[in-house]
Amino acid sequence: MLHSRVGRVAAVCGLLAILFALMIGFGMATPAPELGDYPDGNALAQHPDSHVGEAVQVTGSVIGTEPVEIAVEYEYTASGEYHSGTLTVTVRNVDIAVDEGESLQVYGTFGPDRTITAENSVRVPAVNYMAMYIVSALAGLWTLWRLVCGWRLNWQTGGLCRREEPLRPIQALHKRVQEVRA
Amino acid sequence: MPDLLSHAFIAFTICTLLSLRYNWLTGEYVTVGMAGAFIPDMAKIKLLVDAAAVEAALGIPFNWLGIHTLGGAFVAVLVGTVVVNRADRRRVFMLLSLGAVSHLLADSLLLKASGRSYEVLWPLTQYHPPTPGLYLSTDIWLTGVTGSVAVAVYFLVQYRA
Repeated sequence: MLHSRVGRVAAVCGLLAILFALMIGFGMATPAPELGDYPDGNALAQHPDSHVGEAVQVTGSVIGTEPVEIAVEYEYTASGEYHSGTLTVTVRNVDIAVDEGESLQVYGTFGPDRTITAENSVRVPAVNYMAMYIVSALAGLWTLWRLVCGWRLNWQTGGLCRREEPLRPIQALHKRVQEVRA
Repeated sequence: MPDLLSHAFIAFTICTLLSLRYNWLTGEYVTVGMAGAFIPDMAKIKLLVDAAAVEAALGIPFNWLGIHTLGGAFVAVLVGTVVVNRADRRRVFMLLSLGAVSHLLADSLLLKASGRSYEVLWPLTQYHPPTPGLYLSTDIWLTGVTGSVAVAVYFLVQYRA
């Protein structure tokens, strides 16, 4: 049944619906500290008072060093309304030297007045995210190139199948250049 | 690791090494393993379409990262399996799974302040396994290391053939 174009389309739609349901289910999950799932910036922004005394893990950019203050970005939806912004958190007991503008991940106990007493902090170096995205895009193009060379779409069944003869554009070009030279 | 190139290198290396043992595992199939390594990071669609915006539009909770888990990746692997020809389904299923699992595993070793990783086995469990904290998601040296290994393995296999 999954070999015709209609069967394939139906199966893909059904699977995408399941995937969508999974992402809704994942969105409904609330923090579970006993499982190592600690409240994050979103949870703290939404219900700051209910997490006082709990272990939390947040990441933010350093905006002050005496004492250490970080700006934690958050976004959440409550009763159909979308909220986003930054939450300023004061961090005590940071055992590493940090500079303004750096990104800091903190694990510790959340106290009143938006403070965290850190048990462990990790400094995340500021990196050029644009370069990261370019490198990732290159990886995508590399894989896509290989897919196109090795696989083709069968229009009748709507399925992907292997090419009998994989495309070798680079070798073909190389051969052509040698032929022209010779 | 935010750079997908490391994940692509890891999947390429594993599949190329397996091709030493399985003759059917040609270059086209190695590509399938690499494609599998992209599956969990389809969650990066959040950079384009914000999950909170989807939540607000639908009125229900939503998180793209659901696909960056065992359950989400499994369903996405099934999509890839359905799309290919019947003759290739078993191999494609195995290779896409291999690629996706290599990605989830590599990400579960990331350094976290709490020492706990992410809910990799969700929806089976929300448990965050302890992480050895081998690297940061921004470590660029990792791309160099995984890339060098991939190139070495490529030449090893070419030489053996």
